[in-house]
Amino acid sequence: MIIWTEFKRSGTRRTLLMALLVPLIILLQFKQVRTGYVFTSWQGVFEESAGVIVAVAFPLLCCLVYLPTVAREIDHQFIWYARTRVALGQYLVAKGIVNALIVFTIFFVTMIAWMLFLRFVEPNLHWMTYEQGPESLTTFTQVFRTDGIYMLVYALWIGLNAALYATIAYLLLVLSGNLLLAVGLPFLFYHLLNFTAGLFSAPQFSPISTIFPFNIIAMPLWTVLVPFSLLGLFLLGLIITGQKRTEWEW
Amino acid sequence: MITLTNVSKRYKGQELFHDVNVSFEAGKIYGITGINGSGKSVLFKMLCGFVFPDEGTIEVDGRRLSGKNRFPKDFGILIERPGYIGQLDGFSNLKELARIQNKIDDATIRKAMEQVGLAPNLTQKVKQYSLGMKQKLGIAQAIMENQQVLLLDEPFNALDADSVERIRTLLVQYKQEGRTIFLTSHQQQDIDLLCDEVYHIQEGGLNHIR
Repeated sequence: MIIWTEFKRSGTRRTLLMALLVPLIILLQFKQVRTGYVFTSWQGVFEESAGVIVAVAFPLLCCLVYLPTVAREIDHQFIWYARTRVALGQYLVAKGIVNALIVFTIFFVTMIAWMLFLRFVEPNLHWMTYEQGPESLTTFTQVFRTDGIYMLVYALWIGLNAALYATIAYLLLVLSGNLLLAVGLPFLFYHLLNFTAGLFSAPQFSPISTIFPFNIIAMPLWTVLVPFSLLGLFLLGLIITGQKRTEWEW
Repeated sequence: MITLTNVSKRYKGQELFHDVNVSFEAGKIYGITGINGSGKSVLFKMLCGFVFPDEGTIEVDGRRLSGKNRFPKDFGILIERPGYIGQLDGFSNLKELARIQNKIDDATIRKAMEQVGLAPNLTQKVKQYSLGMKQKLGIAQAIMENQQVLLLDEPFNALDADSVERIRTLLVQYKQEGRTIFLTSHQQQDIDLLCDEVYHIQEGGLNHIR
């Protein structure tokens, strides 16, 4: 019930605008790569349009959809007055679930819609010119060879990662009451780990290459689970910390 | 009936309450006085389950406030400052809160706004409200769902004379309806005029002074 209420409350103009930001970035990037690039398949176009700016700003894009709304409730003590109407735990969990679902849906739908467009619609529009060449495989395309399965699995993967980053940021916000910290820490983690993985010549374990594995040669699929599991453990730690806290004051 | 039994509480390193025992009956207005930082707000936070006593128990209508039964039902609160979403107008703010329990309709929200002296159709964003208007909005959210216990921490802050009179009348009416009201005020006149009983917080105790 409270989750449904929170869903309805989340349907603001701001959330809608933020939801449109990801597809907008992809479209702008697509406009750039339409000319001056040579592609052999629709996957190549997808990787270039969806895996550059979105990849670099990924944690930021995940955090900015719904988190500022929660931060406003905390900043102006709105949440205090919600607490007398519903148990705080229920309220925070409902908001966390709504946050994760919204972010998951935005990324999942955007990615799968873009892949479907490039695979089935664009060939009829003839915007791109494909050239013959060797097939370039990535970590995911080497395993999921059928277009439909690849689209579904990869969009799910992006959606799951987006939900994970968004949930970590949400819990950091709830625990600290500081939006800058909540948005900044996952972003810092993402790029520090990218840098560290590069430093140790192990790019297959960098977050950017496991979520958007387009800039490295195809790696065994299990490698993508390494940073994901690390983040999962961090998330678990945050959940336990939250559950142990008995008094909440922002 | 609200009962505090052997309640002790340290807050931010300071012992505010030590072994407090007191009962509050329904249908009265209680004044809580004390110097700044004496623990008036902390007492209110304990009564509504925002913070727990370090020792002792608090019972509301025979139900102990604890982990599973943490938040008492039917409490309307205004503690420290009103809470709001600045980008929304007053009505929308109240509507957002009312949606959580979905107990009241729009007409009831409008009525609560009128009762405290706010125009329900005002489209001005709350972040542009004056302090007094924000205070009225805070009182409106505390009363709009017919809450039976009101914890009002300095409810007359920033209100003009007419508004003070309006809220005083409202509180007296609520008492006559059988609601229980706790209030703090730095204006002794508010306490003298409205309260049936007055408790003063001093040196860890909650002393019954009237």
